[in-house]
Amino acid sequence: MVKIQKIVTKFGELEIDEENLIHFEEGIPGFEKHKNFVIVERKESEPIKWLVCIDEPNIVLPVIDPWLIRVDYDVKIDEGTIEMLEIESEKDVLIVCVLVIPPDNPKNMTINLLAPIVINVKNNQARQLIMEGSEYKIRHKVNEEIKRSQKILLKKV
Amino acid sequence: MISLLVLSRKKEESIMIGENIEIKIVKIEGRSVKIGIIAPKGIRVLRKELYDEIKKENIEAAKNTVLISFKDITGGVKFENKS
Repeated sequence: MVKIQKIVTKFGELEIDEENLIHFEEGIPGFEKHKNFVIVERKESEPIKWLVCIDEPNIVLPVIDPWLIRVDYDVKIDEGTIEMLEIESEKDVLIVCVLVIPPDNPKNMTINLLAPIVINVKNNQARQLIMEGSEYKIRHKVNEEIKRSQKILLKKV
Repeated sequence: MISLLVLSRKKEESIMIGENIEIKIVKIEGRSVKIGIIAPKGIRVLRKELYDEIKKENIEAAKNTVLISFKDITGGVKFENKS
């Protein structure tokens, strides 16, 4: 039986299908007590999507498919995460990264490539993975990364 | 309420947290200490500064959620979705 919840967010009232609920057993760093989120899409802001907290809808994080920004992004999911989220196949994994959008200067937005959010779409369990020791940083300038990605793609042509 | 438990350990001595986590003092070198950690795979073990930085970044991200148009920022550049 499908349960639908209604929540009021800054995007207006949303009907959430429980099937789309994403569960963070550990919460998210900074919001450890908040475990239930949903990804909201809005045409106006695509491809930026919004990770909205169900219990506290004022908590909203802008997220995006990181490969739209860094074409050669490499996410190494450790065994602990694979077990915790019960990941059975790479195909079941959805990855989004958090954006910080300065309100006075949105062109300078940054993306956190060091800590991607990993979601197992089969069971909706998720975690913000922290790739300590990787080449990535917490703040990559989106406009610079896009330019870099463009160069990479042009070389391949 | 969380309280800080302070224990003194010598090199090679360990601390158990619960039944599954062990913290061992591996080496003491001048001002730094090498700490060995044995913990179940699912438990995240991290330098605190890194966790705090990510925490700060997430909180910052949640502050700024104006519905903006991505195209305005990137000039409409798009890539194929790899995943």
